Amino acid sequence: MPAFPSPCSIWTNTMFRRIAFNLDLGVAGIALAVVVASVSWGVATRYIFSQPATWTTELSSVAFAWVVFFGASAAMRRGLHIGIPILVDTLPAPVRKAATALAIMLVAGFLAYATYLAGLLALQSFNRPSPVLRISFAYVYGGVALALLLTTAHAALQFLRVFKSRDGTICYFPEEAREGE
Amino acid sequence: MDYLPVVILLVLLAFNIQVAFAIGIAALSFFLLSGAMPVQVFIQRLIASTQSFPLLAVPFFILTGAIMNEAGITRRMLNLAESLTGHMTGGLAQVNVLLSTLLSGMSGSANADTAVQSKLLVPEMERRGYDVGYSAAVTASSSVIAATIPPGIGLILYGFLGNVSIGSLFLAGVIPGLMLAVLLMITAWIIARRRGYKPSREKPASWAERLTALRGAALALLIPVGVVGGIRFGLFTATEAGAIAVIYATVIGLMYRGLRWSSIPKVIVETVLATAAIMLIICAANAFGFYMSWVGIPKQAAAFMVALTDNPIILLLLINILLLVVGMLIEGTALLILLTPILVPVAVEMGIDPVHFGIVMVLNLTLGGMTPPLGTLMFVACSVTGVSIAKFVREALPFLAVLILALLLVTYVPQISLWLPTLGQE
Amino acid sequence: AAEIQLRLATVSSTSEPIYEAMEHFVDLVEQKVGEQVKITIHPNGELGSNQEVYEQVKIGAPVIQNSDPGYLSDYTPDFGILNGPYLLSDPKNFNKILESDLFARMKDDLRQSGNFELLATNWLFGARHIIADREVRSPADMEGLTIRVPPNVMWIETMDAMGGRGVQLAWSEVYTGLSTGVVKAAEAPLAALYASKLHENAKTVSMTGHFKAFVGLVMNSDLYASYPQDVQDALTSSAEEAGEFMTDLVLKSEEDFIRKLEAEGVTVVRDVDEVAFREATASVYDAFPAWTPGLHDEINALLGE
Ligand code: NA
Ligand code: NA
Repeated sequence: MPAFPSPCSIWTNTMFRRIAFNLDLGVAGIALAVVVASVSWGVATRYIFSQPATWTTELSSVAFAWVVFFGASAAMRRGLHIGIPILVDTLPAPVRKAATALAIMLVAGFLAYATYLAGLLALQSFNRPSPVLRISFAYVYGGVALALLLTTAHAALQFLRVFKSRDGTICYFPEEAREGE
Repeated sequence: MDYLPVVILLVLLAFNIQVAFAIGIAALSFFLLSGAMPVQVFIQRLIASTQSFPLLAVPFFILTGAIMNEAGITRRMLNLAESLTGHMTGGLAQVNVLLSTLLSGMSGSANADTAVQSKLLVPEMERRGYDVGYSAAVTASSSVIAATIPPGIGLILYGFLGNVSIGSLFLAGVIPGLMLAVLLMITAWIIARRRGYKPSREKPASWAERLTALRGAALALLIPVGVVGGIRFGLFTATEAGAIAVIYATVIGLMYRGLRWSSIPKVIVETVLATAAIMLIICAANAFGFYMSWVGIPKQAAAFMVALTDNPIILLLLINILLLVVGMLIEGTALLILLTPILVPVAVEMGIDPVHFGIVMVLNLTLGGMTPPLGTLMFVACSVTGVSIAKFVREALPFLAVLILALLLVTYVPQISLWLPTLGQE
Repeated sequence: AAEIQLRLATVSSTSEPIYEAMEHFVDLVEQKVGEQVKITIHPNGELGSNQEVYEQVKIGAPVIQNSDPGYLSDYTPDFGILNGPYLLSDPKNFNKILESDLFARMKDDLRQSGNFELLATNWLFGARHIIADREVRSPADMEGLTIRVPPNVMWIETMDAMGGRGVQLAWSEVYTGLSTGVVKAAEAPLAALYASKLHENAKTVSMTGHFKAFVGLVMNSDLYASYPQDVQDALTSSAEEAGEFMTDLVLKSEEDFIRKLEAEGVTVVRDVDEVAFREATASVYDAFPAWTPGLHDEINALLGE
């Protein structure tokens, strides 16, 4: 590691980071497998059994919420949420850095607040049951709250990195991993 | 005050805040500033889209495409396309268009199609003396076919947001997609002939060669046939077709030995990331849509448009021009998400079939990806092939003209879209 | 500007009787309290699905929801029975339930468990009938018939008991589903059937009348309690009156819809063996362990049946 660490290496490669930052992808991947299996089973039972399964639609909806929001967290770390950089690219480097830092701070603040709101809604929706399986909706909102929390962490870290960088470049996952290893 | 979230949205987009978060923050600002209701309702509206069964088709068809790519199906399709059209004038350009058509039955994204073929075909075209700008333009324009022929993510989104049957939209996209393929092949042929681009092979492949190529790709070709046929004959819905396609693609991928069990996690990760990036925008847009309904923006916009004209022919022209202009500035998927709930009621009130209108909108917004300053197809093609944007635009012009011609045909001849979905009904 | 702004939500379209009844409700409230209350109608599920709008109401949004006993039962299970198959032989008997102590207790419970104030429950939504590719007169005709069901246990159990095979489908997919054959049948009140043009794809409507549910209006009870007395009275009395308006409208319009459907080439089967279906679906009432024991008997006693 260089004496002055590059912004990409801020808080990389700790054990906590490894677990926390891969949790989202693992959860989303398993949830995706559940969605595929559940919907296929729904079709299959229509042709195999006298009564088609009626719970598959619902299980797939719960799992889909997890795919999207845990997936969005993993996508955040990799910089896969697209923006429109036309205007910002024309700005001189110091201004661009300030604009980028401000933008990420805003996004991180938004995500933190959304995490709080999702947690609140999870508590309030405890007795809202899903229509057929009677699963509490808190599993949907609670899962999303956790996913948003992880996304907030990615955003906060990206803010630190932009802040320490020279020109406001953001480091996303592949470079970050190389710096860490 | 009612329009403040719209202003916030535009400012955030200008400052390069990710589209999903820009829409989300703008929507949240309504919940915070209006004081109309508990703020946590924002979260409910954000998540609501994931509770829609029809939208599950998005990850399914992304996953199918990823599996096919990993399993080497794309290569097999390339061989088939080459054996069929390689001998024609501008052989590789014809192969390029045909490959998009063959793969369109598995791929739902024009961007993905452009990315794959920019890597796979453009270098080879360059080596054979094709102008690289021309090659990139053929690749980007033919990828519009992938969005039109089912499955297509744009069709799924439009169906969900406009409350229109995705099954009908899928059936409606088949003929317009095939028509695009024919028109683009003719255009590629005319330009290739003028520039003297040679066929990629001396003489037509023998029928034996073609049969071998076909055999190599046959199992994969059953996917589009199965998807369209299965929906048409009521074996399953469009969403269910996606799940079946995933399982079928996995099985044949393993059979062809291109796909290994160990590469499945990689395919899943790729799908999760692509799905999340698209779906998060849709989720945020749904929350923004709640704000728009609450203050009555769709109704105002509809009243405004209906006041402009009561002639559906002129209305369609106006909407097409609006979409083409705005489509130059805003990414097509985001635009589709924002405008579908507003425009579909207007179209229906004017007696335009919402299925037909869906094909018009999706086609229009997809071909918007070809134009500067913000065209995603153009960006993808230019960044992969290294062509300058100026050169790309020059070479893309004739193809763009043909795509717009096709758009006008689809707009004013509804039967092109509606013939297949209504086949067999009285 | 108005002091109190309320939104009225339904997933139904503007061409169904409930929208007309909602407009009537808005007019009545305005006649009674004038400018101080402003109500805007949001049809077509603009504010969200039924379950989602209930959640909004529960946590305090200024929304009046088109209530349905099936969804109320998520919070007070006993409401579910009001959606039961063949509960009423004559819709007019429903008033006997509404005026009972039992119903008053259920309303109290709903206030406790979900923070819901039921403004009225006397809006006859219309008897639900089956549209299919075949005539349905008795449970035997439903044998193996794939029929679209919403994600709701009462529907799933009832269609099963009637002899059909329930397949879950989004409402937007029902039209295509009938056209391609993913399902061979669907069920809805005639107004909804006609509005969504299902008869273009299936040519027989059998007047099974398996559900004759009443719906109504529900809002947040704390919000309701915070309003001046005259506003509270205007809301409840207008909801009741709009309910009577809707019930009349639905009963009168049923024959109109039958004529319209027949004019468009649909066969309408009227001689359905209701007794056989009633017997076949009796078991459905045993499928809900969360109901208060003896509830079904108590309701039957009220109805004098
Ligand atoms: Na496609
Ligand atoms: Na192509």
